[in-house]
Amino acid sequence: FSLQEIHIKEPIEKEVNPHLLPGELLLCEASTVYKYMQEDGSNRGTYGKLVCTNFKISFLDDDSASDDNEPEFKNKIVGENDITLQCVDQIYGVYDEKKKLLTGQLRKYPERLIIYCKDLRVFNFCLRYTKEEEVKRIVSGIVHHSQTPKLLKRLFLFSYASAAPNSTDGRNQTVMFDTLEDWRDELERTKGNVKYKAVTTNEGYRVSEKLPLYFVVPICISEESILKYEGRGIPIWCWSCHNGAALLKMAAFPKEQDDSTSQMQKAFLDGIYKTISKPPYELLKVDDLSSSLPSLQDIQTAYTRFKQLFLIDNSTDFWATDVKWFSLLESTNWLEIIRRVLKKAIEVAECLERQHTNVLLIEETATDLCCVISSLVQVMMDSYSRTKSGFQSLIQKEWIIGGHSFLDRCNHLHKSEKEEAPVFLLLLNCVWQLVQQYPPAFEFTETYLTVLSDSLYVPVFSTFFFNSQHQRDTSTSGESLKTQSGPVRFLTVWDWSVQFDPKAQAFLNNPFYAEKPKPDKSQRKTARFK
Amino acid sequence: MEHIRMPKVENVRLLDRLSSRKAVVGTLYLTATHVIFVENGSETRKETWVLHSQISSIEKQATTATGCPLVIRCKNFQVIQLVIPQERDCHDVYISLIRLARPVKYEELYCFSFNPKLDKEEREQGWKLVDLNEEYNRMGVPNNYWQICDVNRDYGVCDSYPTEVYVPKSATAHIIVGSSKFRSRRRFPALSYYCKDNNASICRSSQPLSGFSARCLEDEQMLQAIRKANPGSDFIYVVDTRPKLNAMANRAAGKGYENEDNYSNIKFQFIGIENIHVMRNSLQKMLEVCELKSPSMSDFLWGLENSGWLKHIKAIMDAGIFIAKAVAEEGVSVLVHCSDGWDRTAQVCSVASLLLDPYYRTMKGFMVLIEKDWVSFGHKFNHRYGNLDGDPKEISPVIDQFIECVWQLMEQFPCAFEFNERFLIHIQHHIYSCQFGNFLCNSQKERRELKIQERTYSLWAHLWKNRADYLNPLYRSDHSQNQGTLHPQIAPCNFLYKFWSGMYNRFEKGLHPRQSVTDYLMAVKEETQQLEEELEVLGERLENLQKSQLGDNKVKSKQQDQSKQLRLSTSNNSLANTPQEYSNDLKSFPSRSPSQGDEEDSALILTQDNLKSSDPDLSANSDQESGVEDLSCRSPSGGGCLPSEDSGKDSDEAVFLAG
Repeated sequence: FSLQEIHIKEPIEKEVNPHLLPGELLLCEASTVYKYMQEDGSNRGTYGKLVCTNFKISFLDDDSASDDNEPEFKNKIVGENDITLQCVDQIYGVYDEKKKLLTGQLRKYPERLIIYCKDLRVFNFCLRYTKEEEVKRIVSGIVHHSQTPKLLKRLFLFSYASAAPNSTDGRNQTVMFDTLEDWRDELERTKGNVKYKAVTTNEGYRVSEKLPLYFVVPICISEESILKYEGRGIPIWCWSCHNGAALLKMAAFPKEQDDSTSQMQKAFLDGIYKTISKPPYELLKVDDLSSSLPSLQDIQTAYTRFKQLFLIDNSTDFWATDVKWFSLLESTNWLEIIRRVLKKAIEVAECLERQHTNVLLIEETATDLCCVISSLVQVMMDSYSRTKSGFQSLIQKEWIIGGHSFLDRCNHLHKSEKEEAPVFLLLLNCVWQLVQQYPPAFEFTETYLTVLSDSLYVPVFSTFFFNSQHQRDTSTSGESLKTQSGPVRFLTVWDWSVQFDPKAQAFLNNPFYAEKPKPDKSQRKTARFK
Repeated sequence: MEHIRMPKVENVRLLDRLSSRKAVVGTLYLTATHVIFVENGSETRKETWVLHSQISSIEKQATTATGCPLVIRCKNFQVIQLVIPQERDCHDVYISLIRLARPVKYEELYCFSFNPKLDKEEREQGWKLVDLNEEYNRMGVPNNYWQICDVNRDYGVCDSYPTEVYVPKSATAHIIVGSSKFRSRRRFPALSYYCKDNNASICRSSQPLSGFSARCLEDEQMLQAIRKANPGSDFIYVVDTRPKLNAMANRAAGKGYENEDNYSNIKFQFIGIENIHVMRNSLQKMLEVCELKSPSMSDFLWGLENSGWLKHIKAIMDAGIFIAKAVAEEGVSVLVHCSDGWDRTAQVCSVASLLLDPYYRTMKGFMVLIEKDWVSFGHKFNHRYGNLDGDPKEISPVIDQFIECVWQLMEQFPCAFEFNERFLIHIQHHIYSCQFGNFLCNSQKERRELKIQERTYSLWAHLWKNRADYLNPLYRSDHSQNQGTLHPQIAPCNFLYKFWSGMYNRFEKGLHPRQSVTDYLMAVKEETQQLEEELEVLGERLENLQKSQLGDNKVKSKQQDQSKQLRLSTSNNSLANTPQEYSNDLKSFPSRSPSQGDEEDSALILTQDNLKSSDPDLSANSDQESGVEDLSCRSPSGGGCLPSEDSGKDSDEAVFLAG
């Protein structure tokens, strides 16, 4: 087809400018880019300007001004035609109808650009009517800024934090678990304080940079034992059940060790087990998640295949998958992984609830599948975790402060694909399954889970952009990052008003949510008005 | 009764499909109409009732050490697994059930003995609830283009058609009779739906007896007449719902399809919906998947895909969508047929009507729709659903597929239907139960001969009486979805069409969401209504109080004006307190509003158990599961877990999946 055939309005002279956030810089742009409507596989679309900033790739529709039917649910930071650099999954160029993956330096520039996003959107841009110079600049700019390795300090997070006046304290109702007080309150809330204590041993990260500043261990564990192996082999408290049984996690010792060391470690572990098997502790069940659950590699492989089913260029491909949809879905193994994880969580919950047995989850660093299982168990057993602030506090406790390596697992810096695995997404998927089963039991909605997963790629919030509390602390205290008013302060994703206005925020709340179980029937009878 | 060899067997075990631990021991009874299992021991003595007419197959398995297993599969997708201690007893039960489940005379069916204790007048009223004459008037016929024809007065032209059918005004008796002789089973083109906004219509018939070259002038005139009845359009669509290959094969037998060259101004279109045998096998395959004891993700997904069931559902939907579009958007009339014009044609015409006309999405309208496109036009209920012993090859889930299409649409358009899923499930149940006379026989003629309306009751009246249970709380008659035609998405089927566990795994409680949004919404709605009534009562009371006080004050001095204000404010306070008390109630699970009776045992409609027991005839079958045991874990402390709407108990329960 040609420009004439498409027969649309001549590009309007009026300049369309991108909406820039504080600290956001325009890096390159190209005009007369044609964006295909993706749904129908036809050549319909719109002309506009494609820009790349240090935060996002953005398509600015030439007609956008006339478009006044605003959607009811709208993100204030990332618009419909915006792709944050971290949200770009893969970029393909089309040369003579052939698709080629674009990664580094380019010798030839494509006539079409296909951008697959991590939130499963697909953008299709035609560059045939764009000036060659602009094509070069925009394509290499987009590929460079979204696909090549990056330094942590180059994340938009830092430019934004230095430039934006941060007046909100972002505390809202979410417990951040960055103070000793927070841990003590949590112990008190779950009545775990009889047998467990919050410790300050890791102040100044004396024990380990991987562990949070404050955490909770059984009362009988000494400071020396914590320090001995950088916190490995120490049962760390996650949560206490109403009957006193607790959910614990532990980082395992690395496998390859010489004999004497491993002997010593074994003796150390035996000592620990002995201590926490005696009264006042209940029986202990140990579950090594690295052998009882799929590996991170399996999870990554399954999700990559699963994702592929949705990253489809046009509706012809879409139809082609239709006849064998269920077998395709099955062959990805993603649903099977979700099933196994949920099953494991049920198993653990039954142990705690029915058998009054403590459960100790073991994993290499105790920051991946441990986080999934312990979060799920709490969502299932603790009604507080099914409220919005309770769920957010849970994510803070188990994932953010708990030390899940978001930076590596999401591969935000394009450092190593080997470390990438959608562990947090796995949790959200499992929680979604629970929401389907118990619609009135959750204060939040499916939409909430979706925007939460989208927020993984929005580097305006610090929440998902560090590997550990230590990394976060050292990044903020760096002397290069001072504003006039003191050290930089990041936004937390839990302040939903940053992304959504109050009307849109209403979509995050479940109108069915029933806070309290129903009162006794007889009581209600007497209360009835006559 | 003479068929019952063994009226009672003790120490029978009822197995739970998903968990062998949950077997219960009880007594099995065979009655003239039901199989009844009564659990031993427990206080409630839970009972499971199964109507003989629901039984689709009985399987006696090899005797084991614990006894002789007997599997009863039902047409409403319930599967009952019993273990009978003595092989001989089991054999007797088996032989008795084989006979009881396959009655040979209509008189043996339950509807002839079922007595809901209504008097003659109430029964007659019940049958009058759905009136097709009224329905055709509602559509706008008779009018200048369409009239009722009486050629079939004594079923003289077509014995599977009703006596009263609408045809184009220009179609003379000669044309109709001539056309009928050129159509399979003489099912000539007749009006199914008329769109008064643009005169476009949906007509239905059977296939023409065209063979390879036969023609019929009257049939060609008949189609011409249909076109002329829609002056705005210069052609009509003829939709053959069969796969082209099937239609061509029919030509060899002297049947076939319309040749575009012989009929002026028709556009011919095939839409490949498979025949009843393919559908029967497809359902069978899908049910095997539903019955798997512990399916892996792979067993389930592969099994579902290989059954092809959802693909067939999509084919029916596509046909309906095509026709609705032709009528609503192009303003073109459509003639629909398949082979005999009583299976696929009924499915497609009713789906199209449902899409076109919001009326059919109301409770009453849906009853009318089934009455119009299925009952009156001679869908062979008796053969398809095996009510009487007959050829098993005639059995096929034709109306089940239509009901599923409706459910799929309800999932896509949650505000467009006045009724809920339960309504569909109960209709499906009663198509097989033979408890009401509506779906007996294969045609109107047979029903009249049997005097069905004088001897049995109407399901529609029964459902209408309990309509509160079937309301969709999200329905809005003024919603944009209800301003005319529904436009379902035509995306790939597996993204849109879902497996309906609410139907096919209806009795497998463990497989359903543990809390139903519909029930929850209905409860909230009722509670709101109740509160509003209370508010009104209180408002009146307040008004009375104020009046009497004003009366007082007139007599007394102005000093007392202050006390009036004081008293008024106190009465205001007491009013303000009340909603507060009830706000706790609102969050909890409300009881039924007073208007629906105050029976304590039916007060809550929240559980799956109650869900079924709200229909007394269904409750019989559903008490099998209590639903409490399969929730793995319970926490007595308030600090804990999820409120359970699942049981009558007030214990808190944690969220668990069936593992």
